Amino acid sequence: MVEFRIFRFDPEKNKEPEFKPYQFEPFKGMTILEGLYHILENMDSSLAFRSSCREAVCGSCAMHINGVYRLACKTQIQILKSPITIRPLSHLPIIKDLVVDLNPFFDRFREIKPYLIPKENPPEKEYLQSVEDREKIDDWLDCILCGACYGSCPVCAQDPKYLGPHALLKALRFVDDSRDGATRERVAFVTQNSGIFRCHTIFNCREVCPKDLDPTKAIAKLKWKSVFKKF
Amino acid sequence: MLFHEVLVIGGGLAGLRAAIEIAKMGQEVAIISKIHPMRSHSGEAQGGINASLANVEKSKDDSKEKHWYDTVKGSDFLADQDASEILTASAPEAIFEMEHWGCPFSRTPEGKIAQRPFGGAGFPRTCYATDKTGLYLLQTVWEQNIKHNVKVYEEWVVLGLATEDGKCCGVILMDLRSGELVAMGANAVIFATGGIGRIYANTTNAITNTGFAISIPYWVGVPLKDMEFIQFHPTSLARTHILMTEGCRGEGGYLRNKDGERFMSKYVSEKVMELGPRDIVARSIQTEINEGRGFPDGTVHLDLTHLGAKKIMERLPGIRDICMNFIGIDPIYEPIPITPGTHYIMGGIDTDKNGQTPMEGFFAAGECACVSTHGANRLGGNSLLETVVFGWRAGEKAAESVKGKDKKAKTKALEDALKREQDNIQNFKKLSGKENPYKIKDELAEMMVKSFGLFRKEEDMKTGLDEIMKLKERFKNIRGAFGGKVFNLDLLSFYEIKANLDVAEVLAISAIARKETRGSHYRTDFNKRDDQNWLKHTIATYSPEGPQLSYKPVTITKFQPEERKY
Amino acid sequence: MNQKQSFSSAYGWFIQRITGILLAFFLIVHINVLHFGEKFFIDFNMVTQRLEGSFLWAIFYIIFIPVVLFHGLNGIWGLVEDYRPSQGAQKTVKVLLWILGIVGTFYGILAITPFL
Repeated sequence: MVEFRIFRFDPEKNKEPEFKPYQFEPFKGMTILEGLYHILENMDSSLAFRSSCREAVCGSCAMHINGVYRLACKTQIQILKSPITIRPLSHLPIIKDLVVDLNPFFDRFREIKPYLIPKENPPEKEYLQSVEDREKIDDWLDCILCGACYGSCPVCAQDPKYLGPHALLKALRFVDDSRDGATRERVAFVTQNSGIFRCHTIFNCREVCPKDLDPTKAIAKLKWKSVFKKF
Repeated sequence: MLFHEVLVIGGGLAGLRAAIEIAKMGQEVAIISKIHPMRSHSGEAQGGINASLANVEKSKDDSKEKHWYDTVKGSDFLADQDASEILTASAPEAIFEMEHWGCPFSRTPEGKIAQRPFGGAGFPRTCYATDKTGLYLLQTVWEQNIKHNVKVYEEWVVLGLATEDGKCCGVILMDLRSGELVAMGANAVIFATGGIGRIYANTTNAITNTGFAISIPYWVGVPLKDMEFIQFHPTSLARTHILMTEGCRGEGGYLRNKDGERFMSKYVSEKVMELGPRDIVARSIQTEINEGRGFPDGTVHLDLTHLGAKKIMERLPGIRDICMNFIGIDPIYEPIPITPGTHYIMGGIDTDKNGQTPMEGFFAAGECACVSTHGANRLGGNSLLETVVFGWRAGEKAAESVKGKDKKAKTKALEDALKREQDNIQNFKKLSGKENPYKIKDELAEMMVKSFGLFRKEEDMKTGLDEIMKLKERFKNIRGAFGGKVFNLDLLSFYEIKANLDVAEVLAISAIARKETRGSHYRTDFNKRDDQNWLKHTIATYSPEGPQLSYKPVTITKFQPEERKY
Repeated sequence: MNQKQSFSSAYGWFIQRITGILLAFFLIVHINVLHFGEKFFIDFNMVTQRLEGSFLWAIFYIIFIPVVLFHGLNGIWGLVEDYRPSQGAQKTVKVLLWILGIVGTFYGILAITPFL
């Protein structure tokens, strides 16, 4: 028997959020997401949460589970101590229950111009990129924009204008891409007021990232680049 | 009343690609997506995208025509060859475009896009970016949408189509955040809503890929084509059915039964082995399991251990992550337990090669559409290609079709449709039966695997169809939907389950009618292909009494049907 | 992304690191000679004696003063920026800190020069 204590808030009914307990028998290998579906389908049809791929690549189901920001789909129930407390991501307006408004998160992301600005006009075939150049961006590609880093970052909590680990990681992905021609503008942009120098190197983002990315390192790299300008 | 010249429904690869084309052509466009575009199922595609670039040594003799032939042969000659020709001929251009937009493809030592072998292809032709090609393509195309400032309605769900004089004039939407129903007018609507895998229990598809989207046009009279052709992916992870890319075998992985034997040699030639087309490999695996040569948990093993840590970390890091996270196995040291899983639907909304459906103003692209480039069996790596090529074409045609048209919503038709959906929702909320709708969903999904799985036979399918009809009866007696407005997942599920039942019925009736074996549609009671009688597409049209079937000839331009051997 | 390309905060951040490293050295020496020397309680005589003893001590402090002032005041500036005050307030604080820094450096060095 496992107990989920889920953060519940329905703007139509509640003034204050509350935690509701749900008890059920999990099967072997059941994930938190499967548990949430079990509750929605059999116990409480009013529950709201996001999900899609159930294999840790879509980034829908990041939430705060027993004190850590994780993806519900790749977290096994059996590794956690019951009762399991589930809360939505922090620092973001709550829409209902575990669903938060991610607009501030995506707005910051848009600010960094997250698309390739090519150096030169495209050739007839592909741009040539050496294996070494491709390797340079390898560590920054896998972001699924789940928001776990944003939720765990105290700077994001305090400064809503702070670009955030996700956007800065993406910025470095383009800075390091041998095909991108706007490197200088990109680094200048993240050097601004709410950019890389607001990062206090707390390492929370790195600790929680479900894809094992390292935004802290990305931000540190951007800092060095902004000083020495070796683009 | 809200109005956009062109509406794209679905924020996956096909939808996003279509929207870019429309925006580039200067027409006003908006995307409507049930989930944020980056959550789309396109992102779960792993192995790669096919194009005859001839970038690696082994593929230097590759050509567009060979790609075309492989596609047609893979389809068991049910593909419309003009459509397949478009697909394969546009492939290099489409991929170079993705590369120019920044897609981080893996590279050859010369710096070109890397290619790997895939099933059913004569050459290594599948361009890849490690084993996360779909994710990177989705990122790239979404980024281009940001660049073009395309308006996206995130978490808005389409509930119905509005039609006037047989033309599509808009959609009825529910904004999940507020729960409000909204009518939105448009001069053209493109459906790019993806697959329907969730009507099967053993699917590799995302939880969002239900039969709902595809049944919306079906309910207002747009026919569905070739719905009996469901692809079963040979390798999906045990229990969770998470996809294990074909790239695993493309990079040299082995399939082994419980005796450690590489059993594929019994089914295909030594040269092909694990890299047969998906339908054949999936059936071979199932045969091994059925004949007792599988492991006790009903799986066979996908063995990567001989590839070595370096190759796995470099080419298949995502597969390793999934194995470690979901079943606690490190494929560097241990083989992966797999079973076949429902993966893709070759059929879908009937469209021509421009994405135009029989209904004016209504287009479809991507997996939900059946342009019929894949025929009876799709080759791995051709679906990502289909999304970008036909997304592009559908976008282009839709944008052309709205040029010079009145930019005004057809208020009357939209209001009628809105009223209809409001009533539907009220009805769902008013229900007071006893049945749990999710039980019906699960039972349907289990039944589909049993009756309409890899091996089909008349009596099983007939029992299956009866079961569907019973479930439909039971669905009338379900409990009421949750009454709240904000983010009401329960209400949405009611729509989805109702649609699942209807789509399953279409699939069942189409499958029972087709008395032959072709591609993924394998019948134990008619185990030969029958070109005389069945070289034709199944068309299913909605009627209140159930789907009405008719048939349409296959377009054959170059390759005459021949026996399909690997 | 705006087109203004200013890297000033980058230099501030970088000098903060450099001064930080220097401070590690300066502070160890400074605290050691003042608090762990012959006498526990320091007085004016003790300090002047040491400074008169070698001009290297004077140079030590001439470098130490601007380093410590920059590091301290820039640190305060960092704190202020974290709270995102208005543009006007930022400017005022910046000017104030600069004045404080320059005056402090000038006054400190002035006190050392007699020992050179």
